[in-house]
Amino acid sequence: MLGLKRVRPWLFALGAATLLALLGLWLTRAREAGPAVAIERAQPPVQAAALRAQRSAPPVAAAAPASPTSAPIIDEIVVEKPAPCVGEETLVTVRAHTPDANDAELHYLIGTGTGQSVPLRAWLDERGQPPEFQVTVFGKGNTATSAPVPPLRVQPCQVGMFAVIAHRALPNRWGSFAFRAELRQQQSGGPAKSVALSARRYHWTFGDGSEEQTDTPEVTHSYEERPQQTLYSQFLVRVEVVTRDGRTLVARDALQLVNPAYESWTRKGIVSLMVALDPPFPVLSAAGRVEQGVRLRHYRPEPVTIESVQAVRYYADGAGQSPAQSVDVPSLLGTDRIPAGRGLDLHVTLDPQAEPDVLSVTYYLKGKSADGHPVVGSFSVMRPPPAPNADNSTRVTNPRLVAKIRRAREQLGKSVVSDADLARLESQGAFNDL
Amino acid sequence: MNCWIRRGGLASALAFAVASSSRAQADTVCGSVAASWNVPAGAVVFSRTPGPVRDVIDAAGESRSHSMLSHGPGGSASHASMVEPGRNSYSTPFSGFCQTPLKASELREGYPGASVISAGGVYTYFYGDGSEPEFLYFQQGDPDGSNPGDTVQNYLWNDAPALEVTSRADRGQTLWLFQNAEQTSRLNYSLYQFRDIERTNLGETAWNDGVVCSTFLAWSQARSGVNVEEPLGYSNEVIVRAAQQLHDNVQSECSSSIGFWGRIEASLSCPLTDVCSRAANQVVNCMTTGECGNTDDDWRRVVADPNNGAYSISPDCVGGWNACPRFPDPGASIWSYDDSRLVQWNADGNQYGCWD
Repeated sequence: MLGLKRVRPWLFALGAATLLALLGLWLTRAREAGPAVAIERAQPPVQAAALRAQRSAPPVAAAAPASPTSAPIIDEIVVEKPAPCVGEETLVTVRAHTPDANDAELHYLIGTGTGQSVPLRAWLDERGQPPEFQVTVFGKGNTATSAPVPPLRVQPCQVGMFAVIAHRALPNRWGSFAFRAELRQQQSGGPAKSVALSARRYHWTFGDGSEEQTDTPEVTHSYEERPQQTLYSQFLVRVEVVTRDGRTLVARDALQLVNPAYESWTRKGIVSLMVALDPPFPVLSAAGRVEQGVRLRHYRPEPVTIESVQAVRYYADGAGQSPAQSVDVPSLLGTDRIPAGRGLDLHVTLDPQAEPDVLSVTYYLKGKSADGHPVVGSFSVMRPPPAPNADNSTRVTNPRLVAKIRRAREQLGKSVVSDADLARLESQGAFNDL
Repeated sequence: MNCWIRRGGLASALAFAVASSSRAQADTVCGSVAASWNVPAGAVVFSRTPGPVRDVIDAAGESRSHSMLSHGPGGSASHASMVEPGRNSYSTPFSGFCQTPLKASELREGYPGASVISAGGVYTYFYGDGSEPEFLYFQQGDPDGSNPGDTVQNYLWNDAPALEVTSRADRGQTLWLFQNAEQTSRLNYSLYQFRDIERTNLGETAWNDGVVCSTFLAWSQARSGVNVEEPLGYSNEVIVRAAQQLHDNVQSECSSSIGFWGRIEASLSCPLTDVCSRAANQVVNCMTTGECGNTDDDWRRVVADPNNGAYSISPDCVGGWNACPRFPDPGASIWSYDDSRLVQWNADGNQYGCWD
């Protein structure tokens, strides 16, 4: 004790510096030697790959590169917030064109997302550096031009609580989505954590001119009326979350949606028949039959002719299928021509009592467009699944799932609940205590 | 070239106790009836799902990120996928998890790899917790009337060597894992297949017995004797973009607790290392060189070499889209001639009920 009191301050500094240096050296060695926990390092395949390269062509693109003149030209990259806080959202937008009037094929990759305007968040790496985001614009044949996003001057401030949007396509629909707003809280020195905070309202805009207000964090929206004139359509979805404690948080989500009719037409010369179902899922009528409404539409300017329809019955429990049976086209469709624009509405029926072994009937349509291109499409009428009981169901053994099912049945007042019911309740926080 | 990870749901069984202790509920049993799809046997289903590997696809300008073979409506499906790799144990801030966040062996030999999933599992795969598909279409596998797609699914269902195991997610279920031809190993999900298909499309066994969803379908065409699909070459420019995209997305999701990598739980105390950055390096090194335990950014050196590209088959190519050949062109897949058709389900998910 007495000895320490006498030590000069500079000796303490020297000692501390030495200790830090030794610590740094030890850490470096520890990193080079690998972690204390045994981690296998498999023999990497690079050597084998090199050997194969000697016997065959190297794994580099065999296709000749596209002419440089057909690559897109990036006109402008706009950064909404050049100096965001760590983890704060900033919108990056790119404008580009093609020199050979192929703008219809343009699609974009911005940082970690796809779309023409993408919200990005920059997190600092181990060296305290933000990521170096790139913009890539693809044109016809996926010829690409890349450019760096102007470096973000990430500030040491914290974003605190923030909102994000997740989206998913709805089943049985080709262009309708569910969007869900979620809240996160940035942690000091660590990643963000999910937050269960109730909000008063959510104000949504969908990037196509429409908007909606909800008091739950989920909303659905259809993009099925969008034109099919380009390979991709671009939408920026935005939500304003007004929390119960008075805060307003904004999140955005970029959608770069492939247009299937354009893709089929340009890639395969096929006129696609797009299918919309009403109702989206089969329902048994009072008479015990499935009455399925179907709309068929295409995107050619003139009507198309349906030349043949084949119906195939698929049997329950994977028990095979019937041979294809020809169906009289006008009897099924009411006509043999599908007009341009709105398309054609029809109804098909499945009687589970008359055909108890049939799970679904699929109708395969073929025809020709006015300019001689093949027209292709199919739709199915299906039998809904039976209500689960002790004899026909698979027992659920996952305790958490059992708890969710029980709670969902209570809350919804239904004896049978579905995955969609569970997902909706989950997003509303109904299972947070489980 | 995703064929990626199933998060939550089936893969991670959470053994929480049931909340209620009432005697009546303790005697209640719950069961499910699966939702069925309309996809015929031998057709392939294509989807696009957000996630890190989708960004590898996006870096190539392509669209589809997963492909799966149907065994018929109401039936099962075969595909290659991977659950999230486990985390190494946290021991000290200077070792274990903090140094190497992800278990290299699980990242390298992705589980379950090529496998059969049940009808109920198929719906959960696409629409369960954390799955956010942007579209779901199928394409038939009968380009010439001989229905080779049905031959492929028959081969997988009846003849392909497979191992029956107990599902990790649900002990009451079994899972079929496809094996290599020698039956010495299951077919692992291997990120390296994105870099080099290694003759998997000829029905041969790759390093690490690795496949991904699309190369598994190429393997299946060859093994069933119906077709040989040829890979596509990708330039160095593409793998530079893909590697950077993958790295940035892993790091971003890990840091913001969003998406698949949001579950790394990097909040454990590792004050001297950036766990998310290390995890990102592991994933990219795994894809570029197979060194799945490497947490340094050595992948940058690999992709910086202009002679390095990639040689593989993507889901877009299985479907005959973009620059990929279309049947009957040489090297095309048997599904490449067909158009995208809407996948329909007979219910909004599996149906659950309970009874005494």
